[in-house]
Amino acid sequence: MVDAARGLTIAVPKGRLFSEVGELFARAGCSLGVAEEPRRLVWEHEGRRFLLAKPVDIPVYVRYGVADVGIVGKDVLLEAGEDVYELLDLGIGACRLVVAGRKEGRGRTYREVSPQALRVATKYPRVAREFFASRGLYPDVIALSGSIELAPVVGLADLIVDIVATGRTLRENGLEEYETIAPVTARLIANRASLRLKDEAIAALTACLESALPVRLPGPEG
Amino acid sequence: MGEVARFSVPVGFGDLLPEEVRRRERVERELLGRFSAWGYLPFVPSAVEEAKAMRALGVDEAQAFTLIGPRGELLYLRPDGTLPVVRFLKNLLPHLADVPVRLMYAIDVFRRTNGGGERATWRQVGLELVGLSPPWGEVEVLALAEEALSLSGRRFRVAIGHARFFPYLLEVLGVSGGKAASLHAALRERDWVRFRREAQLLDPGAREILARFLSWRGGPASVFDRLVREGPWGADLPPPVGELKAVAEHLDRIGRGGALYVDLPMLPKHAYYSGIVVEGFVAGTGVPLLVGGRYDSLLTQEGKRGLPALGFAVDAGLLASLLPPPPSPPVVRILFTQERFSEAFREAEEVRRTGRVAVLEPLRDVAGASVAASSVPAGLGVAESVEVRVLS
Repeated sequence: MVDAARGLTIAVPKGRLFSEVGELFARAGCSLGVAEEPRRLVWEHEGRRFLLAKPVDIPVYVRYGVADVGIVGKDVLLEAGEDVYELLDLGIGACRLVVAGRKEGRGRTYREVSPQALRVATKYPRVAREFFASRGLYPDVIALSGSIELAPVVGLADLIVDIVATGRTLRENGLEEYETIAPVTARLIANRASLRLKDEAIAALTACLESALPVRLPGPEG
Repeated sequence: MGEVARFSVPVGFGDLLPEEVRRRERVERELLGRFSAWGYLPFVPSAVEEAKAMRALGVDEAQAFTLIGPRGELLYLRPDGTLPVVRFLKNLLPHLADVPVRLMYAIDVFRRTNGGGERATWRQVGLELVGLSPPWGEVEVLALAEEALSLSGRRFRVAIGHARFFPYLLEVLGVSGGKAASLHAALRERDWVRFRREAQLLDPGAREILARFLSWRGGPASVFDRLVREGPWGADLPPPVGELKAVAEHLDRIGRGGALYVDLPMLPKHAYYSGIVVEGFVAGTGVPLLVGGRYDSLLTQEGKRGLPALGFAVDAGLLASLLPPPPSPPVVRILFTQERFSEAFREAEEVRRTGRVAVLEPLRDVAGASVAASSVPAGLGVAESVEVRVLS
């Protein structure tokens, strides 16, 4: 089965997900061939080619067919809105996309948090706009690329939309989680053309990874 | 020297340089030549359409490029080839009795982008076949799709699905209302994780069938066999699949079915597709090279049966980019002085009669010596073989 998954180009994410992806692939019997995150960005192992990319770029590599499949968090997919197939929930990299703000704001409505124009800082401007629009709110969305927690602390924004795993960074900065927008886990995604032209290899990889998932995820969420 | 003013073009647009134009023209000639051999007539639809007509036909308004007309009316740049052809044919409906109409086109189409570097214009070479019902319309159009994709010289697959299959399956499974809408949405967004989760909320029978549904993809024979074994309909395939099966069998009989890939979870790109949907994929490209389908519902007239119609369009720019540049014709560069211009002109005519390109260039007098102007401007490409003749 694993042999059948040869010939694929697989985009794997740099950073916090990399080691979990490596463990999952090893359990599935199709090792990445590297013990830790390598410096080189492209390598081959057992007939499969791996690309190492920033998570935010992985849907782009897959959409354009440079990679046949890729692994990326649901948060990135929600923000990117790229035209790719989402094949499998890998159950790893679990966290959640949340709205958070200063501790003293907890329990107040968003309008009470800022009666004037609400300002939201985030790495996920599209997700933030869509979420608040679904509540009838149209805040000023400030796009930042890191350390989002700083924004409410220094008064740049009233709220943040960000991913949270344990909530420790929020607490250490006097912030609290107000609301969950969506639970986040890593997904196996596929290119539209590859799904037709390399269907057997992709089906084999999907089946291998599915058999190695850490837990069977229940429920309709996600 | 003062700074040269630079002007750019809007995001999503660009210029085509000579070599790209030559590549694309060759692809267009090849495609249109094949289509015309099947009886397709050339057609150039209007570049600008009335928004109300396009809306009535189901254009995706979010993607439409809008203009304001001289009377303040909203206009759209043509978003594809099909809808303008339908608009044209709709006016002729009373006269389109039984004769199939075959039209082909090579046009630029325009769609709004999000500005992320995506193209806003494509060159589409397409065809529309009006008046043939399944399976014969499909057989003709898919045989032509195969011819078009084979021009790439690469491995390709023609994915076929059916717009009515998934609604039919949900009806058989008794799934309707909000649950059906959620499943549709997940499938349209290609989010199979959400699709499976939505299916989990249904009764065990429906859940099991929908879990298999996502894998009803592959070669025609194997998919149709699996449908008989795994579907809730026994040995009689559902009508939409029966239609696809008949088409696949006819194509197989004429040796044109080798690249067919039945893909039942594939939903139509446009809401107006009412039958077969087609996407053509070529190795090494991440996006479909060819998209089409049957749209019988568009060519209807009040109180009368609609005309069967289907077609497809090829992304000619993408196809051209997969091919090597066409060979350049040999060029003879004739350099002349004022006194010998007539002679140079006659020589150029002689060269052109032999099928070669002749370029006439006056020699410039620089510091008492005759010199030639420099070669072709940078970036425009040069001919592969250049012979220089000097008449001085």
